[in-house]
Amino acid sequence: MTRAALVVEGLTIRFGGLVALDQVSLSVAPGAIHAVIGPNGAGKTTLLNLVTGIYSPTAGRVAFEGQALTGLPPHRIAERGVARTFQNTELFAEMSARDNVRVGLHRHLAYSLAEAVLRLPRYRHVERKAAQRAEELLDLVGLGAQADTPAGDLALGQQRRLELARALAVGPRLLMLDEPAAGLRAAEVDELSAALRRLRAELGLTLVLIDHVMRVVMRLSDRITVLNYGRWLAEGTPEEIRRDPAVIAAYLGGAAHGA
Amino acid sequence: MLGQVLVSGITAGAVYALVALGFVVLHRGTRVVHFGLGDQLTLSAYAVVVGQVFLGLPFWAAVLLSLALSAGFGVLIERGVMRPLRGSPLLVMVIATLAIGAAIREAIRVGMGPQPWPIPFVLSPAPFTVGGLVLVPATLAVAGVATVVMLGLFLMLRHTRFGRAIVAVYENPTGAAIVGISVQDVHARLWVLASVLAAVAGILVAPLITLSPDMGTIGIKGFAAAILGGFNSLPGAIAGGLLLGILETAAGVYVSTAMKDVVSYGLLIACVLLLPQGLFGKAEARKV
Amino acid sequence: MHALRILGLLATLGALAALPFVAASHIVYLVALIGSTSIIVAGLSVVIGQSGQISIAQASFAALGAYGTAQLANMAGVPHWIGLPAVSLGTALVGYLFGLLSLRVADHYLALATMALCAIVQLLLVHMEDWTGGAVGLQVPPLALGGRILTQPVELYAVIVPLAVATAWFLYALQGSRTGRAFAAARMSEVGAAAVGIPVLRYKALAFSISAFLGALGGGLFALQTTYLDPAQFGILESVRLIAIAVIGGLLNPLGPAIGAAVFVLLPETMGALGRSMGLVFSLLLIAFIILAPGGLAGLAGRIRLNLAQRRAEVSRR
Repeated sequence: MTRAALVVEGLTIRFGGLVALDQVSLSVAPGAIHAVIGPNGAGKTTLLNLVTGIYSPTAGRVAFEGQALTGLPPHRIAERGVARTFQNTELFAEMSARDNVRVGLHRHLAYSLAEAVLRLPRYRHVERKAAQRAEELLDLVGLGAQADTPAGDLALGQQRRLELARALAVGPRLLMLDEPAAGLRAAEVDELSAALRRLRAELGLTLVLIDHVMRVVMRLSDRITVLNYGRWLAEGTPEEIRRDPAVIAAYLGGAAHGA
Repeated sequence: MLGQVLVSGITAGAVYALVALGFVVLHRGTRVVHFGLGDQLTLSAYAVVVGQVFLGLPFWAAVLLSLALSAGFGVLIERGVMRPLRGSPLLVMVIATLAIGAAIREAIRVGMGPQPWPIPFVLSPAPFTVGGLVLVPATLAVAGVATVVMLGLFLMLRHTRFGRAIVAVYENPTGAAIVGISVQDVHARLWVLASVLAAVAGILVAPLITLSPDMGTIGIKGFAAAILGGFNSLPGAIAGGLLLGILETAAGVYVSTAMKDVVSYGLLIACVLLLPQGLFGKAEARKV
Repeated sequence: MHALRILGLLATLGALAALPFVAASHIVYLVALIGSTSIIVAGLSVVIGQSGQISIAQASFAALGAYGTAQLANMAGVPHWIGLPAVSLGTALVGYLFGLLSLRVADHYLALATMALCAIVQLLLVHMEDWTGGAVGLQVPPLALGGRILTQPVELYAVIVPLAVATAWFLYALQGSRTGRAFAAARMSEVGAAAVGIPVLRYKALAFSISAFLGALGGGLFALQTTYLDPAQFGILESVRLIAIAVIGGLLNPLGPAIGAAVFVLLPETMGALGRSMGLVFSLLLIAFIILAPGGLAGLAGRIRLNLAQRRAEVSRR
């Protein structure tokens, strides 16, 4: 049995009186594409924010490749090899697409400020490599021609892809995507699915994605976890989930409180 | 001794409370923190002096003039600076209000000179004793007027259309816009309201301290009081103001008068850094 | 960089090098004053412009540099060429610590905390008379370098202007480095920056400490020129004036501080009697610029160039 890449155990978070996530557990195999779905307000983004360190859980733990991530701040979690994209893209709007990706490479650029100020050879070499790498990543997501465009001027679909390129620049082993398909047309959704599959194949990434768009979720995922009202509802392969009565009730029925 | 400290403390505190109210009213309604509010206080105090000394107006007329000018100034700021800057990042707003305050201060310095001005006394400066405490008529005036103004503010917000529109915009700008309330008008009114509150504070405090272009540092204390009170709460602002006034006076009496200001500012820094939600407020959570 | 721009910069450098030999002593003094002011303002370029944090404490950092070097020389006999770097580094540390503490809170709270810091420092300068000379002021001992006492405008010019040029270069190099990009990223989206591994809080504190360093450095040099320190020169109003210079010159341009400082130093000279109302003029200019031209004068130059380029493109298309 392969060791799980991402393990979430009993994750709970309370905001004041509201329990947004209650004892949620899941485990993702390395190299898998794992989706988290559920009706609005089910706690999917909250789960993502907990894993990536934006919130600290009230209870429970998160581990990646055997190392604890619980309670670490976001930048530490990125250092451990976990990258993410955002539902409302958090791009650096005034910077060019290339520079956005270069910021993603931040941790890998090994030179000091002094070397930069004195324009020493190591700075120049590292920056040249960084520019090349940024352009490679932009080409990978199909934004090669937009390298100099300010991120804020790009179309929504392009911005999503730029965020993807930036997340890849971090050099992650786990990539978490928050509603990557929202607002995209069917053709774009298929492009996205193909791109994600390619990433998994070529880079050996493990992917966790949150989405509502079933076209992506059903066709792409190896396993799906369903949340409802902050609680774990079901988990299984796309086929199993499609047929699960509790899941159907949660999406279609109204009151799925423990019925 | 303690009673005396309380009396002086509440007097200073009432002034801080008025300024704090100005900050909070403006921030809750428009999300802008007006770093020049203290300098508007200075402006209104000088306006009274100018009215009395140069225009020969009786005190009450000069006060009315000052209040009217402050209101007008508030409209000027809203229309001339805040409206063009709508949607700008917070940093830009802070710089803009800082610049407004600096401009007021410099204008006063140029127009009236940097030396302190004496304010002609309206009330008798003769002290009298009540139950062992030494009071000056000005003290009672400050406390009395401040109380009336605060009560008036609360009544206005609750019982007039003008006031209720303001509250609606506080709580739900989109909803307010949907029911036809002009958010822009309400913003203008809020600026007038804050300016008038600062003006009242300035007119009240002027006889008690020497008039100088740098009086506006009271604004920092008003801000501190607002933070102590949780920054988003009107009663909190009042409580914060009174508390600050008492603490500051106590520091002046029991520690040293020179260190009085250092205590205020030190308290302010400590509050901002360690307790940004103040004593009565809730911390602003950062959302993703 | 465009060949034209490089040529222009080289010409400016040449002019700066030649100036002391051809210009009157008073002009040399003024240009050196522009130099020391631009170093102080460069600090704001980093913390406000690149890092997007408000700081109303720059006058205090300048004061620490000025008073610190002066008193190290007066009271401990430490020569300026040791004292100034040492005090600047010490002030940088203060800036870093203050930054760590205050950057967890929202923008306007930071503004307030820096304002309060500025007020406290000024009050301490006035009240701690044994250490600072109090409200009466402090005499600044002259710069002693290589066995000589340097007090002539030309001599100070030779020390200050190269440092000012180095500072402008530093601003440019910082923007092109990973550190500068991290500042900008954190300014545009803290969440996005943290998600790619940038420790946002530490970088913001770093920006603060750089601003403190430059403030102290410029302040120490400024002290050598004015030779007498008065606490009234280092209050909140002065901090706002420094912000005005930074904005008017151009927050994100490496030459912005120099341009703003030039306007600030030279304008009163040309305005004669109105020179007394410079403070007012500057505050009004700040309001005008923040509304109409937030990129400052340097930004205007950029916009003009952009417009010219666009018009040239349109003409060639016809």
